[in-house]
Amino acid sequence: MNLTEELNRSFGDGPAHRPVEQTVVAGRRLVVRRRLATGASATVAAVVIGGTAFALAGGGSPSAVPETTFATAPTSSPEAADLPVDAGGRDHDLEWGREAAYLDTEGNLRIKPGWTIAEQIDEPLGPGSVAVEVAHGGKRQWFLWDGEGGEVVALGRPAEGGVPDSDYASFAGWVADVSNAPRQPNVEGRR
Amino acid sequence: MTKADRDAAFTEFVLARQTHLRRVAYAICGDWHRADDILQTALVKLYAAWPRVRRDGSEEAYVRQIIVRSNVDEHRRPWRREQAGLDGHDRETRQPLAVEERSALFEALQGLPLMQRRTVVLRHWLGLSVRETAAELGISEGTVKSHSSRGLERLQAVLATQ
Repeated sequence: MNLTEELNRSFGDGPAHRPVEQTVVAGRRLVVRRRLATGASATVAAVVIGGTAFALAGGGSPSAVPETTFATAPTSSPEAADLPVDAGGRDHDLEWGREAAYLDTEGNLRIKPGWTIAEQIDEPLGPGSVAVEVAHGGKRQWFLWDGEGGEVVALGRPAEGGVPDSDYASFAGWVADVSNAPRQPNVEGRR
Repeated sequence: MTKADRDAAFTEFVLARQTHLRRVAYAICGDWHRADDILQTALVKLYAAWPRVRRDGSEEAYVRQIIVRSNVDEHRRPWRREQAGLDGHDRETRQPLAVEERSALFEALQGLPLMQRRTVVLRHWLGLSVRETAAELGISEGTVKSHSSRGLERLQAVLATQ
């Protein structure tokens, strides 16, 4: 018996395929999530090691006066390597910047009072997704949401002046890289 | 490789091979819509791993292995029937194929225990060697031979009655 031929004849090709674009978008999202997970792990490692170094240096003692401490990142990740961390291992700049913008339950972009949208890119990851650069005085912060439940899928570093993440020359470049998508033509520009 | 190059090469691969790869999934799981979901999951993983897999020239083997193994995982998940399709793009109509569209041989294949079914599909439909099948399924070559032999025996019995 020629089982190969018999099996080939035993069923057809099935219904129409899903659009391949759908698969590409889902693949990009997976890449972003993996990058975020990697970045978050590196950040946590940096904070833990920074906090441990501080405790070993006597910083955990009630009588010790915390002066300036730094996270000493063991990896090449730039995420938290040179951000100030207090005695509790908290990164004030990052936490402060994290609250600057969010998506509400309806999927509407909300900006914290005092912050303004400097730049916005719509749908870098497909329908519902949005990326914004927000500014407050000399500080800037980059956000990217995938549009599903308002989840923040990538968060740029806050910075005084300059760009939030020194690895990137521009907000559009950062969005293009983390979303693994070509540069979007629908940048609204600075408001 | 630029992102545009990556998307173009990935899209070209998907368009060229998706019909065959979904048939592999269907041969193992016996349901076109589940086969669709399994293939989508495998292709999304392929996209994420594309630079490395493409460099190795193992795109099809990579997807096929995920298909074979993800099907096993799905069987172990009690909530799998309640899961929607990828990214909310679930099909509204999920009607099984009419019985007459599936041959007795295919029904017999679906009646095989899972490992026998997978072994028969890989060895006797796709023509993989014993070694390749063992590597794909993560089992020993001896196990491939025994599953293949038993599965083939049952299918031959079905064909003999036709």
